[in-house]
Amino acid sequence: MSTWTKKAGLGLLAAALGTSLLAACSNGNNETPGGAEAEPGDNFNATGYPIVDEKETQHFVISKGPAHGDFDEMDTVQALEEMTNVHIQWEAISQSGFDEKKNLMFASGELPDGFFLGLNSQDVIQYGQQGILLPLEDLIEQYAPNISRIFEDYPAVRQAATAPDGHIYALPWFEGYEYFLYRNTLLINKTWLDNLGLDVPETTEEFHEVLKAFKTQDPNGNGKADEMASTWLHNEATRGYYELFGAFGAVDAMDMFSIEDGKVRFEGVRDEYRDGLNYLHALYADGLIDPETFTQNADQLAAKTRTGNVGVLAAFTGIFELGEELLSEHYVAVPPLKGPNGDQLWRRQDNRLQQNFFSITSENPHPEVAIRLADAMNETDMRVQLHRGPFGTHLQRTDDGLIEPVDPPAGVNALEFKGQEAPLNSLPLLYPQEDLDLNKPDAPQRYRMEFYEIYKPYIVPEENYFPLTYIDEEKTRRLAILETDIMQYIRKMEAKWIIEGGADAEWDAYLKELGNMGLEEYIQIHQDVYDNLMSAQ
Amino acid sequence: MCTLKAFQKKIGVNWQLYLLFLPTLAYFLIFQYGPLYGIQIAFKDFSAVRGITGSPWIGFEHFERFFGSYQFWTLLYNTIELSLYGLLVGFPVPIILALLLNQLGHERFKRFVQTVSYAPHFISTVVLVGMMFVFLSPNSGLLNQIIVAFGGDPVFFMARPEWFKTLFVFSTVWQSAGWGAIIYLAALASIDPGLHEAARIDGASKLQRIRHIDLPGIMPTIIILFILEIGKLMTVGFEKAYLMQNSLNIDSSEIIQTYVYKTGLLGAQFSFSTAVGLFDAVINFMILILFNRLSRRISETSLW
Repeated sequence: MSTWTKKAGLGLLAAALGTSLLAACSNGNNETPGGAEAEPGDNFNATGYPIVDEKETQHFVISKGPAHGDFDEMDTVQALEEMTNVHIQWEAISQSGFDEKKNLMFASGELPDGFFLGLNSQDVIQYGQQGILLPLEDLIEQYAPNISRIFEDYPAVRQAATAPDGHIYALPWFEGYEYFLYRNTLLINKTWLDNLGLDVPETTEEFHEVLKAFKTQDPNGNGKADEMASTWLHNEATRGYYELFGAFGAVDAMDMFSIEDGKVRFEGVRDEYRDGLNYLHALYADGLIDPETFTQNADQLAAKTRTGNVGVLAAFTGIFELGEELLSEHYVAVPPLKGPNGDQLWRRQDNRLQQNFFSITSENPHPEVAIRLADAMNETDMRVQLHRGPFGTHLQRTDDGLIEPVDPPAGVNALEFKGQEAPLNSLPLLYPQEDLDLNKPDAPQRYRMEFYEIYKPYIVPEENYFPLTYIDEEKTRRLAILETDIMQYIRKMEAKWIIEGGADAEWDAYLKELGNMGLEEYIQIHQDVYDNLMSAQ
Repeated sequence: MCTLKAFQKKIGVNWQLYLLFLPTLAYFLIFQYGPLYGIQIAFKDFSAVRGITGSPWIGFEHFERFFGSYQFWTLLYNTIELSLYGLLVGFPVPIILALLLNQLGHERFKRFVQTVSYAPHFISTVVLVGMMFVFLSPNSGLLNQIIVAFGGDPVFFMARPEWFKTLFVFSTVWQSAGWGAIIYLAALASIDPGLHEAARIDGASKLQRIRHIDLPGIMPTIIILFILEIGKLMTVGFEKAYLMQNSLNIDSSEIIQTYVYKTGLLGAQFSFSTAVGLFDAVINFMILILFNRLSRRISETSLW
């Protein structure tokens, strides 16, 4: 009965926005920039532990991953509280709903004391420049010796954390293992290859033949053509098919930007990219790519790959997708394929350093407590435990002083085992090299190191890689507008051409359409960002 | 003064009724009219620090951006097509279902059909879309297995833009037709059985009785519900469209509501998405007024 008034009055969403924004006017006009200027009280200790004499609470928002347990219950979190006397009130929001909730927090002005993992670079710059997130550099210098030392020893870390206006609004994650230089390992079912008497493919041509054999020659020997040749994710870096484009000379078909002789280049309009699309279409047309590649998520993919009835997949290590048993017994890594013109590249994705793991809001009455908390997380023993679980149950020291992971109980997923007791990679943890050297690698790391050696010679060189950096607010806004249209269109056409083909015939129209959407400006902004970064170095 | 007194007297006499009415009034004022105040950010460059009132006015910039955007015509076309398609298919089905049910003599069978047909109403949209993905999967889906068994090629329904609207509309019909028929059944129950008896004696067939007694009897209900449907014409089920959406069917699945959600709540462009939402609401409002007027002239039934 009332529906028509409601809908006619205002779109449902606008109403929802409006309600939450109502609250903003009461809070939003509050001009005080929080406690940044306030003198630390008697309760606070500038050095040594505990950080505060009387227990204090800091309210932090964190993006909760699938492997995380209850943060309050984690042994390592309780140990941190014991050491610092700071109680963290966790507001853990699951990944899928995070952006929406986070945006409403900022719009309504109902902010926590700070954020761990969850903000994106756009948030950090925009809200940093508006004064909602505090600049951290002075606080770090004054109160955070561990973080300061990392910044001194690794200038690249400091640089990646610094906004274009010179402030640091968020602390990054830093774990300098070289094997973080690329994303996907291409895994192939070796048992199937052996059953059919085939070798690991070396060229795109051979790869096509092998997939075809998987599909038609019954490699699992059950007399039925029930094998799935390959399955992937569309529009996702991890488990995506974007590394395959390297065989045609496309440098990065995922993020689309590369650097050539100091010039920013857009990969999505290059013939190399189109050749890759045509190749994938040829695979698709022969039924060698799972059609659900374009609609499934990681869990749905894993449900298929864990049966072992899949010939080829892309994965970080394959432990999540296959489980250790299948991985070790049946699958091997395929070295980068050689393309028809001899190209042999593997997409670079440098995840040693990641931005936005810790920010303090202007609502925080004691920013100095918060920054010391982040610094306490970076004490050598505390850091490794917050990342990989507590000593005793999850970690142990070997006789030569190294730290070794304890195997999870049988049948328990290694990641979930750790996630019950540790926040994993969701806190601002920054490892210096000497602390990394203390770690004895666990199973996933051993696999990864082994795979890295295979891909290392073919990974796109650093000078061709668009570097990790913050972009100023004005450019960010413009990019947000351009990017929505451009990337959505590109992904749509990509999926269409892989499934239906026709990239060659429609290519000119595609280029023209991208031009209409403002591709030139999109590239130019990236060029400006890159030029600024280079001149600053 | 006099009228005020009369008004006070009226309240005095019927105060219990007004008291009952009060929560509804408060609900509308607080949750429906109050938030209208937020519309102003459609004409402002909203920033969280300055708040709604403090943000600077920028006129129609957001509207210009939307009208000039690459997506505009696709969005408008998809929203209107999906709405009209949904209305044309979805509106008559509950009426037909109710008319058929009403003719059933067997009381227990009638109740059985009714229960079965309105049970899907209680399934949540998320589950419904999940079911669609499972049933329509090109690898293992029931429907495609049947197609393959008969020698056809599997169709990837959820990924085809040309299938999106049909799937959307017919799954909604499946879910809501039984529920929607309830109100018509109630209207049918209020028709004087004497009319039916008289018609039967005069030798009218079942079809003739439906046409000349049942349909005219529930016509006012149909018209009011039709106008109400028109009132939410442009607000297609957002959740469902968003859940069913993917890169492959985006050409026909991107509608104004999903666009507003993506730019506004996910992209944090609050002002822009409010402007888009407002545009949607204004169009909707105009359509509603138009139809209401039309209906008043033609059938003398209307909302106001």
